[in-house]
Amino acid sequence: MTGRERDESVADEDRILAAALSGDKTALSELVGRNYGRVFRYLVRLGGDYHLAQDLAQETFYRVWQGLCGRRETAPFRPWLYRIAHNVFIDHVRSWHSRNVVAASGLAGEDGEGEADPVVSIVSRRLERSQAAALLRKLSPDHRAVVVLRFYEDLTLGEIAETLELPLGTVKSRLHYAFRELKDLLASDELPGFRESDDGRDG
Amino acid sequence: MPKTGHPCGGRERHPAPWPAMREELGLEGRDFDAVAAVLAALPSCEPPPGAAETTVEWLASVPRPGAFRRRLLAAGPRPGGLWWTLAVLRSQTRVFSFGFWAAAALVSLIATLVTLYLRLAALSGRIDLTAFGLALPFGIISPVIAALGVSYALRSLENGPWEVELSCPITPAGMAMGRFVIVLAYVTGLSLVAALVMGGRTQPLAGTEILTAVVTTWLAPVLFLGAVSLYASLRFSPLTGTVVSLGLWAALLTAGHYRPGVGLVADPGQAWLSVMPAAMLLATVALLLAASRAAGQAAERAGRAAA
Repeated sequence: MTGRERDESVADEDRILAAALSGDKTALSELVGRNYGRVFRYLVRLGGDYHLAQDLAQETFYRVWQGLCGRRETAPFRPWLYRIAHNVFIDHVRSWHSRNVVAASGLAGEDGEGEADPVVSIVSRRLERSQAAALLRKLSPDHRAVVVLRFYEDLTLGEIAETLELPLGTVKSRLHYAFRELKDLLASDELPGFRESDDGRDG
Repeated sequence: MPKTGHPCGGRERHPAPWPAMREELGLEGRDFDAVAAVLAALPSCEPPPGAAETTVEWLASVPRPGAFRRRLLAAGPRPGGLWWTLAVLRSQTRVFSFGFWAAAALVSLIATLVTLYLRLAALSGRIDLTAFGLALPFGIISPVIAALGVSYALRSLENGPWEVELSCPITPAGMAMGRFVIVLAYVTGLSLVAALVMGGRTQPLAGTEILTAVVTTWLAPVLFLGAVSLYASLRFSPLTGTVVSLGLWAALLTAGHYRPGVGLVADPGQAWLSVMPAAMLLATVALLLAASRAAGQAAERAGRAAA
């Protein structure tokens, strides 16, 4: 995206935000429609869980909706949106519910058996078998977030710093150490059961 | 992002240009290319069909942003005016129970009666009151009531309702100041009644003497101790606010035993006059810090909730 295109997109986004705030349901629909996929994919990459991403995306948009009137108009929308999604994910990781559901699912088995929706079952298995997802899961949530935001979401380092409310230097060092950690993980065979051919294919 | 029939079909194509990113991070070696290749193979997941529409429908059914605040503000007078200020004060009087009003009035009554007795005894020549000062013991009790009252008004800081109170349309700083003003107003009211009782029974003073006496020996200590209590309660806890303010007052009262001319018991008028400018400056700073702290608490909670 060129600078001019980005400016036009920002202006357009501001118009939609203003209209949504004034109660225009079409604008709200446009706001969610434009950003739902972006937020959903970010949460899938961060959490590695299709179901969870659905729940957290809905919570994210609820917080966006409630926080719109308190948002600084000069603040760029995209980092603000990612920040809310990130905080929703972090809140989930820290929550009692997360710890207990993870423990319970561990007892029930991890192969996705018993999933009601076959499509979701396939999706879940695909994510579980992905070497990339397994690598990302090995990172701490802080490191994972910077990798996902930079590598997949294509945010600039400045935007990541704004999103995570960190100094630019911290973002750089986190990203640097995260990639070193990924490299070491890949070299150390700490991810048993994965082969290159497993990636992205149904089992 | 390629759309597929399958919600998690295809592979990610990392949009960030990898060579530029590698350079940006100072990563060297082919191993990092292997990492990028693995990350790029992450299955690309699309949200389930209709998820965005469902979210829109759900959002449209919840109250619009700020609706609660707007509704509350619309129900009352416009912010900033006299009626609004009075409405704020009225709303904050509800945090005080009947026990507080009654206990403060009872303590003031006892202090007034003792002071009255001492002054009548001094007038009849039975005791020499100059060693104690004319304001005692009422002058000692009033600031204590103010300090305790402010700490009491902020007791919710420790037991949960503060979170709910912060969500009301009054700013937290306004709320804290409102409670402070209520306590001061109540203590002032009690003192006026006491002054009328004592004034009618003892020899009246000249207007300027009364004003000086009221400001220096009564109003200034009340304001000073109330402000210290307010800040310490917000910064630490209501209990700390009580301990700090009462400890400070006890030190000021008894300092004369260790340093002549400073303690309020030995020479209330002159001693207080010598420390009053510093005390008023400290009170102003304490009030500003208290307002800033209350506003900060709101921002912190709002930030946690909204983002």
